[in-house]
Amino acid sequence: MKIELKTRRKVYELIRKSPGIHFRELERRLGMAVGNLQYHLQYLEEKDLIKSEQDGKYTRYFPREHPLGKIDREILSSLRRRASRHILIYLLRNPNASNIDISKNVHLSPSTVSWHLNKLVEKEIVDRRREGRRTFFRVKDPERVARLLIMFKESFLDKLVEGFVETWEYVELD
Amino acid sequence: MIDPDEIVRILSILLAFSIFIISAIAYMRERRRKLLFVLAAFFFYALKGFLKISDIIFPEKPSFVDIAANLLDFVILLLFFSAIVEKEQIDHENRA
Repeated sequence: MKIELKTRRKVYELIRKSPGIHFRELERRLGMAVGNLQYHLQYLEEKDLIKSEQDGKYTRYFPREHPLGKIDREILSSLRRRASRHILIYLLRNPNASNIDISKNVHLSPSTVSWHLNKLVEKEIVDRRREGRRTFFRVKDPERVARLLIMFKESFLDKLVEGFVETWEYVELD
Repeated sequence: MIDPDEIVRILSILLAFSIFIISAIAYMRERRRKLLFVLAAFFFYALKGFLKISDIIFPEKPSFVDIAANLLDFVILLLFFSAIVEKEQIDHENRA
């Protein structure tokens, strides 16, 4: 699954900050090629994150506000944790990965990955599948998680708290 | 007129209280025992700070304040030590 989070989030954030922004302005401010921008705008519209309106010769873009349901809130609270967020992004790109695969690629210890995976499985965000002695994980609703990843914005408090948790995470005797 | 020593003490309390708030949010989000120890340590550190500046508010400081502050030092260090030796529970099933 190709999620191109960074670019989509940039487009979405600019529309959220400047509701009614028109296509040429988006193109100029983001410095993106027309085709590429159109592709991302179309994706965001399909996912119901933005809407477009014709205003004379301009196409204007507006963010769509959605009341968040229980599942969305659970996912967003997991996305606040940097480790969980990295695990989810890895799983979106590599469904059916094992703990070891995830651990190697997100640069976290297997025990930390295991702890976060358990929480994600408990919250029914991630599915666990056993095959013999191996266990594989995948995101239950990839479309929903991808949409929320675009909407998610890490606040200053999130960064502070995350830094604090990470500091203590690695303070441990062997 | 507050002397520089008192200003430093007050700033230390404010800083300890801010870290206590951050650790409380971290614990509420993560629910890990290690963070609970750290949260308690910063709470007692802020409490100790209040005891130490109590002489600014009450010039006649009761005798138990110094003893309580020393006891809190011990409790704080014990909590930090517990946070260091606390082992996270690992689910070995998921480690395949």
